Amino acid sequence: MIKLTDVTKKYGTKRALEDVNLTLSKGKLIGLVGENGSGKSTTLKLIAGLNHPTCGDITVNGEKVTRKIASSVSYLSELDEYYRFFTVKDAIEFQASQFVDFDIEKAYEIMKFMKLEPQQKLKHLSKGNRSRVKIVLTLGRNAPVVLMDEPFSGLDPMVRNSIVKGLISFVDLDKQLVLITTHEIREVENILDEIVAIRDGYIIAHHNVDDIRKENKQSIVDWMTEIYA
Amino acid sequence: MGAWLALTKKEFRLGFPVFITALILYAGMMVGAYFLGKQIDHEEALILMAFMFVMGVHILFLVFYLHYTLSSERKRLHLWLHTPMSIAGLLLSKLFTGIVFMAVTFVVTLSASSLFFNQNIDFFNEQTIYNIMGLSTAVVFNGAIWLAVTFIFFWSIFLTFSQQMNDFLSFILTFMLFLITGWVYGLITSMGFVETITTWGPIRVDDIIVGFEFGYMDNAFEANTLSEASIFYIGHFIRDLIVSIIMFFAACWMIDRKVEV
Repeated sequence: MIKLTDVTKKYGTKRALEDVNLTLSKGKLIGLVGENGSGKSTTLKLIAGLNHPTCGDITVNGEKVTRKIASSVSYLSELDEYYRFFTVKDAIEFQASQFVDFDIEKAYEIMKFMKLEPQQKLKHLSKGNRSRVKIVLTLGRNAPVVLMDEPFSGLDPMVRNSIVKGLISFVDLDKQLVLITTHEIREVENILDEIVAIRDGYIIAHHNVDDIRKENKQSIVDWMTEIYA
Repeated sequence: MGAWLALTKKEFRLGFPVFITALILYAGMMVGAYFLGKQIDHEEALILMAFMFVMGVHILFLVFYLHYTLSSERKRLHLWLHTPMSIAGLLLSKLFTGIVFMAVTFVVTLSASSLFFNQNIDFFNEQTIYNIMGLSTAVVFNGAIWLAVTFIFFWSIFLTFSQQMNDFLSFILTFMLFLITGWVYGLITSMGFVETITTWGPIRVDDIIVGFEFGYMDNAFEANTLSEASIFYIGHFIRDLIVSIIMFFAACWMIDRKVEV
């Protein structure tokens, strides 16, 4: 479980998050949505222990978040940076060496699903294929918390849908919590259990996706259009 | 340990370009000195000068290496720092690979030079050659590791500053801090009290080569070594070692607690 209590994050004088209180339970696939610069990536970095809150507390499964939380949090960055001299196989093996929860067989299974070849050098891959490698490396771990920052950016729209659907089969929702930030709402809305909307550093809504569909009789995109209007 | 070894393997690949560049650069200097010397009929003098220059530059090898590899990591801090491994483990891996690369480069240069000196220079006896080589090794590695730890410490300060301001200002502030710290450190180590507690364990080394005298007489190149006896203190070495360890762990603390992605 992830818990943010009164979390504020400032970069110098610029406020990124303000007084955020959020509780996310395991066994769910949660979407974190918002405009550019609304605080989505900052939220994920704070949970991953890669940024430090200006004030407030963050815990993952009851443990106060520090950089060492990496042992129970698998994090996919929005940045397209990896060790370019690695082949896909090298990258998988390196990740396996660094994280005890990395399941190498599962990683190769995801790699095949992503139509990647183990001997391909990362520097020769297209941006879309590098995005696939990032997904392989993140979902290859059996970490209790998976954070994915814009995992589908750079992916070809034709394959994005099938990758999103495939993604769900590589997550063990009995044991894992997945938090995804994305602009591709239409593609992911069918796999999400909950949605958290953020604007200018404030959490403005946190709902069950089915409730939005049944009670509001709206798609997530329509719901978002309404709350951001 | 397995995770650290795998990380170190990655570090070898990441830092490989620095190693190759240094090898090419050093070989280029030595070969260049040889051919230039041959043209003006002074290859011994020029090779010796090139060797001394390469040894001087080699003290900075670790700093260049760390600058290259830490700058590469700076672009992907989200990868480098997203690990359960301690920052000390991450930095030691870089330091270790740097020292290995430095040692290999050093041995290659030293072997090639000693081969040349043995075959071509007869004004050094075997003992003197070993003296030069041994002393070069001690001075170069001791100096390089001290500089490397100092670099890591100030790089961490630079990274911490760069969270709040642009790189140029961060660099200027870090550089000023470096100068001030160096000055303060000099003052502290020369204080009577500090001198008293650190000046112990003298080691007298006779005939330390402190310089060379080159001359050209009767169509022949002449070189003489300038040597004198020196005293080294184990206490000074321990003092610098303690300061290095403090700087290293301070750098780890800053990266862990102050640096963000």
